[in-house]
Amino acid sequence: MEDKTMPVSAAGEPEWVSAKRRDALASFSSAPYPVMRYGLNITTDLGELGLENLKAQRQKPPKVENMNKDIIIADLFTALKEYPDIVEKHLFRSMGFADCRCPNCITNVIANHKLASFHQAAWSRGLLVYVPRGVTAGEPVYADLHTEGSSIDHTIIVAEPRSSLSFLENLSGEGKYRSGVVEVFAGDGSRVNFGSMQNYGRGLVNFSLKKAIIGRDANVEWVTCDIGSGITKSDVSSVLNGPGARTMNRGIFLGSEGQHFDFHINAIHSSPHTESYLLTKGALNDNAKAIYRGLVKIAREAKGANGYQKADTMILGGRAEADPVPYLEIDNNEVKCGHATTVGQIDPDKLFYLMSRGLTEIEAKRRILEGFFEPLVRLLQVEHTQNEARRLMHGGIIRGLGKEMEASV
Amino acid sequence: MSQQNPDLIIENLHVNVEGQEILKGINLQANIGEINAIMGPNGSGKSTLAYTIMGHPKYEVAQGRIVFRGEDITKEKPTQRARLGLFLSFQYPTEIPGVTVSNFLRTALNALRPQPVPVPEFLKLLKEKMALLKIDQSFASRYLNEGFSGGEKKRTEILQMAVLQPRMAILDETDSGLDIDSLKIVANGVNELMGPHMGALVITHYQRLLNYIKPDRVHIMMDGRIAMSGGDELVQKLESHGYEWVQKGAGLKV
Ligand SMILES: Nc1ncnc2c1ncn2[C@@H]1O[C@H](COP(=O)(O)OP(=O)(O)OP(=O)(O)O)[C@@H](O)[C@H]1O
Ligand SMILES: [Mg+2]
Repeated sequence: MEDKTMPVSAAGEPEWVSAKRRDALASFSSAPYPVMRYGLNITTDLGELGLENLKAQRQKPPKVENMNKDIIIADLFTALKEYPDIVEKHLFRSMGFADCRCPNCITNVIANHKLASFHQAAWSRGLLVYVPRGVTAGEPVYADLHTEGSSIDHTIIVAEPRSSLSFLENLSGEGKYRSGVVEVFAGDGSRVNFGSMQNYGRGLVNFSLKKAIIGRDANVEWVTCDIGSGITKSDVSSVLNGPGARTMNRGIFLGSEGQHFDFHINAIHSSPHTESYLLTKGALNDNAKAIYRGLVKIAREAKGANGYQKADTMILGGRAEADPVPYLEIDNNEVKCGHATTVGQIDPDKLFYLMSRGLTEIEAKRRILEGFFEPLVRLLQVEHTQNEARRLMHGGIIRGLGKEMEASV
Repeated sequence: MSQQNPDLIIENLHVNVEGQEILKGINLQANIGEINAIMGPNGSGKSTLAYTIMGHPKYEVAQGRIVFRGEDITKEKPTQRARLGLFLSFQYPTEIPGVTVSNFLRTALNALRPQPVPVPEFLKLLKEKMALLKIDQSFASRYLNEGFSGGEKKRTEILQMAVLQPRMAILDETDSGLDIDSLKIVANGVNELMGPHMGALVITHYQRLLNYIKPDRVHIMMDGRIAMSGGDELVQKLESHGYEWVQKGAGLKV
């Protein structure tokens, strides 16, 4: 790599880290750029990104708020020095977990995937959160990850057996490209609640990969909220890796004016009596587009597993499109599994009901949409983030509806 | 008073739903301060009339007009009708997930008032009206109608009426789905709110409700028309003779 490109190694990092970067760089160079397809005839080619020539920008280290002295929270470069064993044991370990085999999924072909390889070669900011055995972290850990220009952020969360943690990342900023990988290792009997609030500027391409390896009787809950960025490619995977492991995955997205979202939500049941529940709610204005692929995969060993997925999308503007594609891959007969998807408009009876009480059409639509998202917003662990999510959605909804109003006058 | 135009005038109203004529020339007048009962068999068009007065976009006025408080509202949006003081208590209230009763009612009240109502004042009003209708305070923070029982929905409709204080409320079968105690509570609530500044169109199948809420006039709908109008003696007649009797006498419109 040349000088002007992203740095491939950081000063003073151990050789094993640099070696991983070199391996990843080799796969990056040989892999093709992914092309995202929406429905039958809409495609987004990421080749134009030109990651080879991406300018490196120094990012502020993650700003983290938490008072609990029993847990470790460290910048990842610092952690490489102070907690090398923890980092070495976990860095990119989740990527090795074989899981999804559907053609568009990147979680299992990570080594050959352009964007993921780029991330592994060039990560330049990171965070380690480590909760020791049996420790309850208490107040949610709040991490502010602001991006100026481009950033490549790696987060490792380790919840040792019977510990519990709530974590919330706030993703904001303007720029060209952001790559974020989150690895969650939930030990036996642990509980992890992971929230994510994403509101990047509309010019940014957002590549996000989140993966949890969930042990026996452990529980990982995801709540993700995507409002910003021009293009979002987001994969969230839960590998239910021990008997009785559970996951709940709730995702929200709200898009307008040419935004594209490509979500891939996976629950991989590799052990018996595991449970997954995947729920996505989105609304699209203008000509925004979203593709949603949900996969519940139940392995032969996963007797008595239980998986359910549901995706509801509201189309607000005439040219917005949503394409929900649920997959169920079941290799075991003794399981329960189901799915439901809806794509629709605002229910005219709900609209009439609210308008009959004096609300204007736009106020009524706004209420209905906010109500549509509210049950999920409530699950964000930090109250000011809930309010922030409401505020952002309010803005996004008003923006979309405002246009519609102008058009209808 | 008698020289003045009635507050609500419905003139030769023809309404189509999905291309089919449901209301076939309704004429009806009502005043604020009065109670008009509307009765009639299933499918005769009572709810259609209620929706049309409130301005549901699915109900297309093919002929005729609706005037309320001197304004022709035939083409107005429901918002404007509500702001003029009309209110509909729905036969089947709609569920609005994610929007709490309290939050919604505050928005609606502010939409109707020229000045926003301060939060403490609103909360006091809400609490008072919930007490009047014996609705548990916990309902204030529940999502509007979501998971409510049939009777709870009806009571919440009347709660909305009590808070929003319309000039003319249309109660579409508010009594159906209410148990005997609830019916008394709701009827008492309605009576308490009724007065010179508020009138009602009470749509019902049963004498029961009209024993509590005494109508000034009673109108009987048959097949998209008002077949007969009269005093509250009609209710008694109907109870003993049924609708066949109205059909026979339909020629003798009062
Ligand atoms: N949206 C609709 N689509 C088709 N037909 C409709 C619709 N709404 C009403 N109708 C028809 O119009 C007629 C009148 O219905 P409406 O609901 O007004 O009756 P109602 O007098 O309120 O009856 P009930 O006493 O059962 O409530 C019925 O035949 C009904 O099927
Ligand atoms: Mg009816």
